[in-house]
Amino acid sequence: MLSLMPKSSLNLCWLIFVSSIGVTAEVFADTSAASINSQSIQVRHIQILAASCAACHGSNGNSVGGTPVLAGLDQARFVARMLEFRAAASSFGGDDAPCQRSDRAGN
Amino acid sequence: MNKRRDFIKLGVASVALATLPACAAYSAQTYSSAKAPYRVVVIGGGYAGTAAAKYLRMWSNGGIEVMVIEPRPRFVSCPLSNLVLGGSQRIGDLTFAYDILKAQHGIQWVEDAVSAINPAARKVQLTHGDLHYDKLIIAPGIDFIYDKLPMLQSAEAQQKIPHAWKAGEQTVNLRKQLEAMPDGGVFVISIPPAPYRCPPGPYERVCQVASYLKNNKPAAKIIVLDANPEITSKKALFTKAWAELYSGMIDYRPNSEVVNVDINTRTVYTEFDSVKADVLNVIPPQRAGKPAQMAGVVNFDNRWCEVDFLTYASTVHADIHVIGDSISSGLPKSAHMATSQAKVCANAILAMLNNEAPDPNPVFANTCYSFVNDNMAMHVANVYRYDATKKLMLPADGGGVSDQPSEQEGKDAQYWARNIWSDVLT
Ligand code: HEC
Repeated sequence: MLSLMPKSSLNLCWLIFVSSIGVTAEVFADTSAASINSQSIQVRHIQILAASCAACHGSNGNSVGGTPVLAGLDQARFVARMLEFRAAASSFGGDDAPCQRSDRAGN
Repeated sequence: MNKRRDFIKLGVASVALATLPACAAYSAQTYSSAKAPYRVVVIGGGYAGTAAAKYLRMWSNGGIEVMVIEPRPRFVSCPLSNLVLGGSQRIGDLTFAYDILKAQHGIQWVEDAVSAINPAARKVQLTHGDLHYDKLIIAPGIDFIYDKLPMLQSAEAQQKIPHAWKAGEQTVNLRKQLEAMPDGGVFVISIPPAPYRCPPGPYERVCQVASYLKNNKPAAKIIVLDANPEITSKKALFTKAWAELYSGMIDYRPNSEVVNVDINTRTVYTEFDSVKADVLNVIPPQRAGKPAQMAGVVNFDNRWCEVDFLTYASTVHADIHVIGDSISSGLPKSAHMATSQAKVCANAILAMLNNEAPDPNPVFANTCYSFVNDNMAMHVANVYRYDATKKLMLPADGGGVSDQPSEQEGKDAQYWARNIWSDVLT
């Protein structure tokens, strides 16, 4: 089963672990993110990281097709999915690729 | 039709413009640009420039004035443009108006070309007047170097021997030449020494041309003259795809830099050899775009711009930032990369204008898909992290490439394109 899944598929979602998932989830949960004026360094850091997910998930997580909408996503679900991605990654020896398509196993 | 969707309507004679759903989360607002304390001028409306302009407005809640200077009336995507050569995509599918971006974010837009930049006076001179800036972002993409191939410099020469490395008319020209090529003809492509725009792009192009020829002119041949010692990106995957999908069709020659071209006979010369083509595609060597040269910020190898990776400020002039393909970085010159850099730059400029420190530890993603035929693609994806000791963006563990091309990834690549287009154009 596992061997049928493309190794190192879409592997970016989980790298969010380098920072705090909770804060990232908040950035997506509240897309009206306040003005840059007086952002903490931590928020800036997450803002930049989360913004680079836009190529696949759309601006502020508002996907226009093919990938899940992250904007407004329930934080518990966000965190749970990230943990699943990480678990899937480590089952390949740690260098694999979450944001893994769940329907790929059979491809 | 979904109510969220706003469609661009432009009656342009020859080009059917593609349409994008407008971003739902960020609805139009009224901005008081007149009162804005700062003006950031952005040179270039490609992936880097549009992303920088949008995120500057969005993250400042419209608090600063942003002005984009772009001579071309429309955005044409380089990503997916090789598919025009293969025939599964038309250039109109990749061509977009800037209207939604401008209107949704209150971005000032000047359709003009830059003729000079005066860093001391913080002024950009245009064909029609000049502009003052507090911060300047230069995002001009690439410029071609014709020092070694001066015969290719003229517009007429490029008509006959297209580079097709800036998407648009050149892409369509090359496609037409392929359509007109006789079966049994020879397509020759020359790949410049790295670094150049889109590392896997030339090899994807070979796949696309091969896919078209296999279905339409099966006796045709492809000769790849690569100035590099080996395939520079996704090597194993391309080698396999060529062998499996286009067996016997592709003659790959590494270490083959083109030193001369006879335009009339479409003959290319390498140091030891010459090859006559029916259709010839020379991708010239590249450097930072002209506005970067005008600003005097090209300070690496006479070709690229050195920047501080926390802010993308030029190491020559602190108030001039450079993003996208023009910088010297060791990072792949890709569209996603350009937008990632644009966002770090926009975020840092807003911090600096507010007398605060920028993120000292930026992390961002880059993805790049390549199509091996009309519906199967493969990717390379990495996360990059700032290394404070080396002062560089370095790839984090966990990146990688596909095991093999697939139809699912072909779909993913199209989804990626929709999302990045909506990110930079709406
Ligand atoms: C290369 C494209 C790509 C990039 C870049 C990317 N993702 Fe994903 N992401 C996907 C795809 C595709 C899925 C769907 C996976 C599936 O259906 O199994 C997904 C799924 C997710 C999910 C699960 C959502 C749900 O409702 O189940 C989350 C959360 C997520 N991504 C977060 C992120 C974050 C945060 C980033 C940036 C750090 C990111 N992704 C970057 C392609 C990407």
